[in-house]
Amino acid sequence: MAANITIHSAREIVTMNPSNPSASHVAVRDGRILGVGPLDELTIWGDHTLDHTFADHVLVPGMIEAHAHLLEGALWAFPYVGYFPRRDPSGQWQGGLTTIEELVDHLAVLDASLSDPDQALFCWGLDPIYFDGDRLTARHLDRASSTRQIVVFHASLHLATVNTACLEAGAIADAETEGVVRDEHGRPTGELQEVPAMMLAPPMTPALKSLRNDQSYWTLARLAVNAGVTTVTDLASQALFNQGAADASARIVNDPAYPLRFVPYCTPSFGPTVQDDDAVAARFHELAATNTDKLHYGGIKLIADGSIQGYTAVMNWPGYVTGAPQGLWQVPPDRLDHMVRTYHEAGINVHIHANGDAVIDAAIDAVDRALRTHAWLDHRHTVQHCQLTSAAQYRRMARLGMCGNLFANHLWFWGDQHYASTVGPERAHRLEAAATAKREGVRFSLHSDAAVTPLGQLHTMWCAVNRLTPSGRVLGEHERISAYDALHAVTVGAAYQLHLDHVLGSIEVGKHADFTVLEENPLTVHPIAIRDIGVWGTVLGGVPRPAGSDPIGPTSR
Amino acid sequence: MTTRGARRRVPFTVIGGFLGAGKTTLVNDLLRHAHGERIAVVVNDMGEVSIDADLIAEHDGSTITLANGCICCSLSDEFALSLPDLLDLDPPIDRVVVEASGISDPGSVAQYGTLPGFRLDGVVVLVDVETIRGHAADARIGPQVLRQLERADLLVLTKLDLVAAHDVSEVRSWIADVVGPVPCTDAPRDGLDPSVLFGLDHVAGRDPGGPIDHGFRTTTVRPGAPISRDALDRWLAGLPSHVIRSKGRVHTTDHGPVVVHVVGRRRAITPDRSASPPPPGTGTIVVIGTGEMGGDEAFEHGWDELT
Repeated sequence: MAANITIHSAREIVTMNPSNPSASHVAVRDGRILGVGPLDELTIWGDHTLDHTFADHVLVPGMIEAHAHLLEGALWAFPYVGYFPRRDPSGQWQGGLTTIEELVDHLAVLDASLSDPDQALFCWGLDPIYFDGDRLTARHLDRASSTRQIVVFHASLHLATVNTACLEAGAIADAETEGVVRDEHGRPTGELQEVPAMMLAPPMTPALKSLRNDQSYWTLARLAVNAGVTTVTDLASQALFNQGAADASARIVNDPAYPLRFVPYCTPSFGPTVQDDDAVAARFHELAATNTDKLHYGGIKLIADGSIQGYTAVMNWPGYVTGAPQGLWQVPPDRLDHMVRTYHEAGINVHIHANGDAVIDAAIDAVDRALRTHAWLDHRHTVQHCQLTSAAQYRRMARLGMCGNLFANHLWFWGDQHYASTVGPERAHRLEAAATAKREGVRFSLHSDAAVTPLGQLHTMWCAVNRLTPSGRVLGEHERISAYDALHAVTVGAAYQLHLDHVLGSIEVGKHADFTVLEENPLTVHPIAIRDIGVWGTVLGGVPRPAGSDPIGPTSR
Repeated sequence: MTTRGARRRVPFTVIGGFLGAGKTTLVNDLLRHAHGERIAVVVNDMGEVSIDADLIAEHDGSTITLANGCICCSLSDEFALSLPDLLDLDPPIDRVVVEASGISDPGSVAQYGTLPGFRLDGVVVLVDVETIRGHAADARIGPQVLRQLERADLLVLTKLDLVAAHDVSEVRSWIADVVGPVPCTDAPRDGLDPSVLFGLDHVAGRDPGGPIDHGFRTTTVRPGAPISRDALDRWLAGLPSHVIRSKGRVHTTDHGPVVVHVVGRRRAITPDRSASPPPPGTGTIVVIGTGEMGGDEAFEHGWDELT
C-alpha cells in the first residue's frame, strides 16, 4: 500500500469532536484526515512518515472566518494609520496612533519616505470617534505636508479627511457637492462625507479603483495564515455578474500555492438585474457548479440595513439614545421577502446583513414565510452581524433553523461608543448576545467583518469570552461565553452556517486536514490571554503553511 | 480632470421614486425617443430594460449601445467610480440619466452630478398615485418614501389611469401638505415627452405660447431691461409652481452672459461660454409648464418689476 501518510505529533490536538475531544496524533493522507488518536491506533493504516514539526504546538481545527471581505487584503497596498495597532501582512504592528499629534507626526514620516513630490499620500483606517476633542481637519494634515496631497480614508469607508493641497487640487471649495464639511465661513474643513464628496479629492478614485486586483487575494492569504485562519468568506462577492471577479477567484484560489479556502457569498445588488431574483438564482447555480475543495460559492448575501455606529441600522422602539431617526432600509421588507423566498425555493443558503432589531425581525419574517410554502428544513439561513438580536428573536431563529453570525469584535472596537451614544447601556450589554444565542439553541459563529476590523479569530474569540472595552468596562458579563463555545463558534459553528460542517470545522476522520497551529491551548490559557496566543501558522489540506513576513505568490508557470 | 473641466458640463438627471412608480417605463421611453441626443442611461436593473433587438447596435452584457447613439449601462458598485469615465466617451454624450434604486435617496445619487464635468440638472421623482400614500404611511419604509419626495426638484405623477380624478387631486394636496410646493406634473398615459424632463432644446422652435405635447405649454420670455444676476435669480425663484422647466441665455449687468437652467425648484445660473452669447441688455428664456400656465404677459410683468 502506497505510503503518503503523514502522522503529525502534537503537544495536544483539540479536535472539537465531542466523541474524541483530545489526542496526541493526527494522520493525514491525500489532504484529508485519516485518523486522530494515540500513535499506536493510527499505525493500522500502514506505512507512514512521522512528523514532529508540531510536537511543541497545539492543533485546533482550521479556523473559519464566516464574515470577511477581500478588501482586507486590498487596503494594505496603502499605509494603515488607525487608532488600534494592527498587524500588516509582514506581521509588523502598524497604526496605534491615539492622538492627532501622533497621526500628524506619522504622516510626516510617510511623506518623507516618498521620493516623487507629485505622488499623493493615501492612507486608511482612521476612526476619529476615538480622538477626544478636536475633529481632524485639513489644517492638522497640513502640518505633515503643505505641498503633497494627503488623503486619510476613515475606517467606516464613508468618510475621508484631506489636506489643503488636496482641497486646492480638487477645487473643493467651489464644489456644490453635499458632504463637503464647511466651517462657519463656508470654507471646507477637509472632511469629505460619502463617496461623491470623497471623489472630489483627486487621489481618491484612482486609489479605490486600484483595490480590485489579484494581489489583494494573496495579501489576504498572508494575513490569514499569520492569524491562523484557513477558510475565509468573501461576503459581498461580485462574481454573479462580474466574470472578471469569478475568473480571478478561480485562477487564484485553485492555484495549489494559494493557502486558503475561499467561500464567496454573492451580492445581487452589485449586478445588473437586481429585480430578477430567478436570474440571480440561476446564475448562482452556474457558479456553484464550478465549486472545488478550495473555492466554494456558498450562497447569496443580502444587505438589509446599515450600521449601528453610523445610525443607519434600522431600530425598533425606542431607537437610538440620541433620538436619531430609525435608520435606513437597504431593501424594502417586501422585496426582502421575495428574494429570500426565491433563493430558498432554489435551495440557496441566504445570509442577510441585519444589525438593527427591526431589520432582524424582517429577516426572520422572510424566512418564516418562505418555510410556510416550501419545506426546506436544512436551509441554515443566517443573520449576519446579528448585533441587537433579542432573546425572543433568537427563539424564533432557533425554531426556524436559522443561524447567527455575531460581530463580536464590535464589543472591543465600539463597545464604549455603543454604551454611551448609540443604543445605551442595557442594549449595549446584550450586543452580540452569544450566551443568549447558545441558551436559546441558535447555532452561531463570531466574526471580524474584516477589513472593518482586523482578520483574526483568536482576537474575535477573546472579545466574545471577555467582552471588554478599551475603557476597561465589561460590556454584558452575562453574555460572556466559554473559550470552548467561542472556539466552537469559529470552527464547527462557522462551518455549519456555510453548509461545510461535513468537511470542515473539526479534526476527525474524513474531513479536510485543516489545522490552526498554536503555541498554547486556547481552552486552558487564562481567558484574557487568548488573543495573545502565538500562531505558528496553519495546515491546509495537509500542507503546512507557516506564518511569516514574506509575501505569498502564485505558482510560477 | 483638466480636459474634462474645459469641456461643456454634461447635464446629469436623476430619476427616483419607490418600487413600481414607473421608473423603468420612463427609462425605456427615453432610450427609444432620445430626440437625437446621445444619452447615457445608468439603470438600476438591466434585466428590466426592454429594447427591440433591431435597435441594439451592440450588447456586451454590461453595456447596451443603441443604433440612435444612446448607451445604457447598469448601476453596479463600480458605477460610482466609473461615472466620470462617461465623460471620455467618443463621440461625447449629451446627457447622463441615472435611475436610482427604489429604496434609495435620489438626492444622494444626485451628488455624483456635482462632480467635475457634470452639471446636476435635476432630481425627478416619480409618484405612483395609487400606492404613494400607503407606502408613506408604512411604519417601516414610510420615512424613506417621504424623503424621496422631499428630495425631488420635480415630481411626476404616474399610474393616473388607475385611479379616479378626484383621487389624483387628493394626492396632489397630500403632497403639498407633506413636502410643500414642489412643482408637480402628470405623466400622460402614452409616455412623458423627454423635453419636459430634459429641457427645451427640441421644442424651442415651436410656437411660443402654443401648446406642446400632452397638454404642456411653452412660452418665451425676453427681458425688458438690463438685469443683474441676483435679480434674475429672484425672478426664477418666483416662477409659479406650474412651471416645470426653464432654460435660457441672458446678459446680466454684473456677471455678463449666463445660462439659466430650471428643473422644478432647482435653478442654476452658470457663465455662458458659447461662441455667440446674447448682447448686453438682451436674452431669452423659454419656459415650459403644465396646462394651467399662463401666456407671455404674466412672465414679462414679473420681469419688469425686478428691473
